[in-house]
Amino acid sequence: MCGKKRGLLHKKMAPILLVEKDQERANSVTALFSAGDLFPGIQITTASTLAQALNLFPEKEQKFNAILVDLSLSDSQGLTTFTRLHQKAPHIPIIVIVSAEDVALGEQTLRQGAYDYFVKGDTPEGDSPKGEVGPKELSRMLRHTLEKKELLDRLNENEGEQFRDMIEKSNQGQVVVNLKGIVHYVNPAAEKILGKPRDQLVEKAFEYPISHNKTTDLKIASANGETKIVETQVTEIKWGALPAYLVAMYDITNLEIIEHLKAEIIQRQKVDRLKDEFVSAVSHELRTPLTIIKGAIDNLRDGVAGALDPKQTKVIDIAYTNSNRLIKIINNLLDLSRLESGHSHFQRANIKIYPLIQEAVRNFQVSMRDKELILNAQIPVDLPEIYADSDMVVQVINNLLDNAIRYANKQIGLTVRPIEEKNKKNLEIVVSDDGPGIPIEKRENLFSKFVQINRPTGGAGYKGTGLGLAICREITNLHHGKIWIDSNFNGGCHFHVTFPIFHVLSNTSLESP
Amino acid sequence: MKKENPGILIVEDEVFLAETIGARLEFLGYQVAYAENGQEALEKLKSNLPDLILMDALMPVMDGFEATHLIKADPRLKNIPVVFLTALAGPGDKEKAIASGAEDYLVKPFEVADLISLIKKWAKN
Repeated sequence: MCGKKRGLLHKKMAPILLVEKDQERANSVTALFSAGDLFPGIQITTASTLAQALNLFPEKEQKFNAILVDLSLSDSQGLTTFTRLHQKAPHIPIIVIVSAEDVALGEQTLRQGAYDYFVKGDTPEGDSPKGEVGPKELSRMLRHTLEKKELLDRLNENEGEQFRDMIEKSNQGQVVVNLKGIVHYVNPAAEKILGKPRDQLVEKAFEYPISHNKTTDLKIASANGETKIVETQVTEIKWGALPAYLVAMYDITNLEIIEHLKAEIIQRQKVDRLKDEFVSAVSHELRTPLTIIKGAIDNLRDGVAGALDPKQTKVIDIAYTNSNRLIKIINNLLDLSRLESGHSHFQRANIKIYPLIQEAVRNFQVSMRDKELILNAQIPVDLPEIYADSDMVVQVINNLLDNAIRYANKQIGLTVRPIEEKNKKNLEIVVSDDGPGIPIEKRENLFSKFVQINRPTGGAGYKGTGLGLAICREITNLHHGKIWIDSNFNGGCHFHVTFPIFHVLSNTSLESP
Repeated sequence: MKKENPGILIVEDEVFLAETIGARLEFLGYQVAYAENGQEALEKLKSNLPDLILMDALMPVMDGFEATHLIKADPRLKNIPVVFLTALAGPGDKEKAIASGAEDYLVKPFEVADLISLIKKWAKN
């Protein structure tokens, strides 16, 4: 015996229960085990009847390391003796003692879970001349049993416990199915994946195909009607003593969705890039013929090719207006495409807004005069500078003024003021008109491309491009500003735009993003 | 070229566009000469010096950038102002024109008024 094994036994010598009707034999067995240092510190509890033995359980069940039982007792005979004891103390290893003619019975107990059986001879002290198992054999048997028990206990306490805990808490579903397809065990993750509690699964047939040693994707319909995609992998294991299948399940529904979304995003990026290239190419190709058309119309209109009568002038004016409209749409389309793709020329600096507004207003003076509109401007001269791209700010102001002029009845409002929101200082520009306003349900899409609200009055003969507000939104987003509409008062529309005020940077620096 | 009428050289491969611009400029009293690409422009500049060159960017044989570069490298020609007229409206296109030595830049399609004000600004004589 090596020292290591000895040590194992030394560690925890719980008593052994000996159930034996023959007092003399009991004594000799006790003497055998107690002699020498084979089982140091061994304690042997004896019981002469099964009733007496059973009385020691279950309260003190853990007290014994092993049970030695003679199957032939005064109150119980044969296999029954073993099964009743085993039922009472299922975790304690049992060595049965049978007579020489009952070897078959010993074999039977092994199949029922006995650790070993011992064939008793006439004298336990000496080796049996008939080849029966003698005391040396009994000692060896007990030693092995105790060692095995000790190892199993350890396994259960440590690795076994950890393993069970790991399986129970695993995110991966684990199902044990026997070779006939009956479910033995289901962990909580598998309950979740299969959408059924354990008691509806265990001891019932496993509903899904088991493909051996390969990964399979199953579609599992859950109670709420959604279909889960579950990856399963089957491995052969031993469950108890019998071969079984361990079905590992992993709910990959979300992964599938993510894969799907990823592919969609890549596709969309590709389409966006193609769209950018297309818009850019088209707008470039359109520019030359448009320039020629516009130049020709301008020449006619301005009498370069000779004087026109009023009727001819009227015709050429229509061509003139609409060639300009077409140019504006193409420019806006290109601007928007660049803004959306992040390829626009964006250069911010600390800029004064007053001159920009002055210039914008000046540009619209003719159209305001034509429509006999009054401009109510409230713009303090000492406004703080904003950190923005001045061309883009002008574009926003132009687009908003253009809209306001189109829909206004008599008046247009233009207010600029510093505001503070959540400790952020912004400059707010409000452009308003006294037109028909925009119904609340139509405001949501107002900043989308090619959305033009057919307002009941105003705008006759002068249509926009359907891109102006979309451009305004892209520009304000780029500046971390905001744009919104409110038309709750005075009936008209009030467009609000904010641009950030930066104090830290002085007006000396230019910055590229 | 008569002294009182400023001369403009239009370098443009689109003949109709060149004619449209030319008709307007002649109507306004300018003298106009034409070239269909950069190389032809350099040929014309050997015999006649205009007061201003309107330069297209993308042309066959020799583009506007190269032609401008050569013009600005020639001591005899370098003082003639060059204004780009181009359909290139992308970021960096203006910088590219200016880098080649051009004085100014106008994106097609343009307003006649804008073209005239650029011509008046650069063709000072």
